Amino acid sequence: MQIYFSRSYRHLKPDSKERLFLLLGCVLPCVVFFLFFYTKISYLLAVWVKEALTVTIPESSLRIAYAEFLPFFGGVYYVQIPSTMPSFQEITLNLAVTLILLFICFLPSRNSKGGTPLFIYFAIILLTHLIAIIFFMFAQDFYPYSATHYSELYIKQQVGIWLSFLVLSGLIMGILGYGGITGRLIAFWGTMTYSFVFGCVRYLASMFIISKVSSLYMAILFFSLGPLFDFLYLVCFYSIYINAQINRFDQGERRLKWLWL
Amino acid sequence: MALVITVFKVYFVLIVILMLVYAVRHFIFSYNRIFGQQRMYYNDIYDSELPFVSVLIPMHNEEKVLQNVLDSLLVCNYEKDRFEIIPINDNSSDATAKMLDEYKVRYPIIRPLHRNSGERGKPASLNDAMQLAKGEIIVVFDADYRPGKDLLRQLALAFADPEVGAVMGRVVPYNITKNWLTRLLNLERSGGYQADQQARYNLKTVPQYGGTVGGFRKNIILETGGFNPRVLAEDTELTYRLYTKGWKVVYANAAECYEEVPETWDARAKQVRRWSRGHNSVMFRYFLPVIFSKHMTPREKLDGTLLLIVYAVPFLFALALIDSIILFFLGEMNVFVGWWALLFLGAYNSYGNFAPFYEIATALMVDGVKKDVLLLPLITFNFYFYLWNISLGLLDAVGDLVTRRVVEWAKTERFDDSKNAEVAQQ
Repeated sequence: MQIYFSRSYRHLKPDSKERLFLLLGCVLPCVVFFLFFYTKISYLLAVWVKEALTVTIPESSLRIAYAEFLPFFGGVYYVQIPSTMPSFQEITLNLAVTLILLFICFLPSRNSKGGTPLFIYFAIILLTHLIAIIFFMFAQDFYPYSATHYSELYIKQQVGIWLSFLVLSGLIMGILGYGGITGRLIAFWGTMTYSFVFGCVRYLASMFIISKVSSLYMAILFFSLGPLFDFLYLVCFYSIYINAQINRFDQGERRLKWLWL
Repeated sequence: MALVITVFKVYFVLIVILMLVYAVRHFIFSYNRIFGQQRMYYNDIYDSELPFVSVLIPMHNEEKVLQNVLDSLLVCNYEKDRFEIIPINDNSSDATAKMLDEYKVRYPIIRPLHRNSGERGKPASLNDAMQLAKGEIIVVFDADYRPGKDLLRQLALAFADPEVGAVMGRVVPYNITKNWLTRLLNLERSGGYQADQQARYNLKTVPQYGGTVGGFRKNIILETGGFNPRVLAEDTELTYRLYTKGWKVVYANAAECYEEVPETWDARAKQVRRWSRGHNSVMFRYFLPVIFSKHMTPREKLDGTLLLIVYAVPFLFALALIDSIILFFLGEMNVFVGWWALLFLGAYNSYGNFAPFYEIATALMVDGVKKDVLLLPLITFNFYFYLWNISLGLLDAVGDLVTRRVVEWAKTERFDDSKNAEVAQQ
């Protein structure tokens, strides 16, 4: 007997019980829990960031504030921090450095054999920063955000990312996932735990930079370290999980789970 | 000013919705491929009288690679009196013509067509070659391809079905281990064929004829005026021409053929930009005919439209990025900031043949490709690379439409060497 279609048409039988358990027993409760508790979570995060920032910023200038966010589910808490506007020297220095870096990005990308995507990525980030520099150079008084505004924006964005990732990771692991339930749960929780830790640390780092250095870096932080960066680790965790599954389904009893017609 | 801001906001919301539509589309494809019942190709048919097939291979300065495709075809298991090979030497300035003539002397089955003047490019070459071709079924390969022994037979089988206008096989890179780029392109190809094309075939939407490793009925093309030499993406054009006239395109996942993928980012950028330019010019021509087609099912229309506009999406997304930067500096991001992530969620998942990470992962799972799946995070950076080059391709297409300028064909750089050949044979 010959097996003609070693990979062309093979597929797996959906595991309905595991899927239902994951979606209804894990993902859905997590999403509901998050929706009803993100206000509390943002409060705890704000308290932690406020405490951490007191090392470098006087406690009297730090407060925790509340802003409305999703209807029905409540608002978010964030840290009010003092703004630091950039000096003329800082703007000029940033302009010079940004132009040099942009030149470097565009120069090798013409014939680069290795790093073209990275150069394009950095060029877009630098162009965003350049717009911010020009804005502060000519219209500093019209800049629409204080450090506190930015803090509010960050928290709302972060809640949006966490919610999106809960749904996305849940759907991928719950519906598209294969193999044992333990592996899927580890991948799901691993992604969300990392996302939570990363989001918190990024909030602290962003607030520190905005407050201690200057508001000039708001745009670059918002657009470069935002959702696309989050996707990087989401896909990292997912690829590790898939690599493990590919190995498992290639040997032992799991190999027999492939359907060939 | 308020009106302008409203327009920016509305545009932002529309693009988020569009991106989510694509994300859902590819999620459905991924699910269907890994868990759905697979629609088999015509593998069970054993036809004792296979049709006469004319194999056309457009070539322009292909001295580095042409031996591979010709030698592979010469040892294929299709009956030798049932097919001919027409390599099309399209104004080559290297040793291509001489090498083809040497092959012609040794193998009468090879009938080279030398084009030393006239309009250059693949569509014009195919038009000329079809006039010479004796077969009713035309199979096309690129010069850097290496068809397997059984490939011709598998592709020809589909034409026993009178509804089939074209067939498309699976493309697999052979120079995968060359560098990081070739490895990443292998992931994309896997997602694009093993998952995306097969799922579209399963779901009876619009599998795409890819211009190579595929075949079509000659009379359909000739009766409708041949290929348009002004269109760079003659493959996409053929797909939509067939569907809007009531024909079907089928996908043969087991009909694998091996190709050389670009080994430098520069070559890849040019390739993607050319694809985008060609695909978008087809979009301008077929957007309304697809929507109002009497021959296409609602499902085919929906997926056909999404496929048709897929090379416009990165440009629309780039505008949304600029839109969001403007809204940011106008102090208007507050409303959208929570949903900013959704824009990326969709965009990250929607770039045409470049399947989203979960679709690529699904394909690699089916293919059993170990370790290389760990490179998936790197496609994050390709995202901006495609955003840039595909957007440039769209602008080229718009320029072509507005100025009616003559589009010049530019072929992808070849890199073949003996090391690659060894890899392919393993």
